[in-house]
Amino acid sequence: MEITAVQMAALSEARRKTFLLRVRQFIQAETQRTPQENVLAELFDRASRYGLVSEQQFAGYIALAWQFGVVPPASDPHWIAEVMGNPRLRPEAKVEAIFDRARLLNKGRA
Amino acid sequence: MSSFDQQQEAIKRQFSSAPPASPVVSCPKGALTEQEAKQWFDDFKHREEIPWNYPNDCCYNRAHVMARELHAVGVDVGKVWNYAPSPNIGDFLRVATPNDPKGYVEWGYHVAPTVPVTDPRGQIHRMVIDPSIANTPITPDQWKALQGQPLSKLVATNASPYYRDQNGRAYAGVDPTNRQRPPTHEEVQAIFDRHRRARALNWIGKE
Repeated sequence: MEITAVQMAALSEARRKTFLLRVRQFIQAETQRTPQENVLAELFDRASRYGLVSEQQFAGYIALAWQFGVVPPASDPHWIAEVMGNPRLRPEAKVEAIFDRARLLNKGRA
Repeated sequence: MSSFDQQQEAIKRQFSSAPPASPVVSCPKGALTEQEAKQWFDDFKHREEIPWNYPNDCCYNRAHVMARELHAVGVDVGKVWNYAPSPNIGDFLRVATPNDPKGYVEWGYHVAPTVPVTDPRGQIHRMVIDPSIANTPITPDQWKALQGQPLSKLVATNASPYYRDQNGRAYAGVDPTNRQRPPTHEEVQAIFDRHRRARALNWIGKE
């Protein structure tokens, strides 16, 4: 069966929506707060521009940025933007690095 | 364990390593998507410690480093070897390159790592990661074709041989007293350093 480009795009969009719903449920379970759908969608687009690839990377960046109060179109905090915009880092390393920084910030708050 | 540690663990359990908006199903364990394979390729290509500009030698060391890193993250990495038909009578592999003053290099053999890549139809193909002669992951047949020797012999192995001769004798390392010991990080770096020096000598008075 041939799948047209239009069908492929629709399928991609459906998977994107399903994925964002799962991210929303994940954040709700982790934080007991409910993110706005449009904020997650904007963060998803920003993650794409950062070159993230996998569900794990997208979910990691979106969940972390949201917990630090990022609401597009406002920029990411410097400590996130610096890592995510580094072209020398692989996508997986970017997400690992922002979680490392978040842990340090969390320690500083304790 | 902090809440961020727990969140990272939960993300790994609940989300896949496949792209989120792709209609393609998740990759089988050990395989990469086409996008991931290209990103690994580009990442290796930009590593400053790897002398990509010395195609005359060093393929075995570069292949070892790439294979080791891919294996460490769970990729089912292998290697592909291409042997010139008769190097003893000058029948070499030959690749055009701006990285030698002659404009080409010749080899008795060449090696690079291979990774399983899932295409958009879900089919898995072995692709070669070799930034020394290509600009993107390519199939073993394409890789062989770049080496200009239709009669060469292509052999696929797992990732463990550091060096393998045409007769199938495989060695895990460089230690002449124990060829089955994999090279240490220091030994690998020393070989890269030696080849960087060789590159510089190769170009004295020619750049």
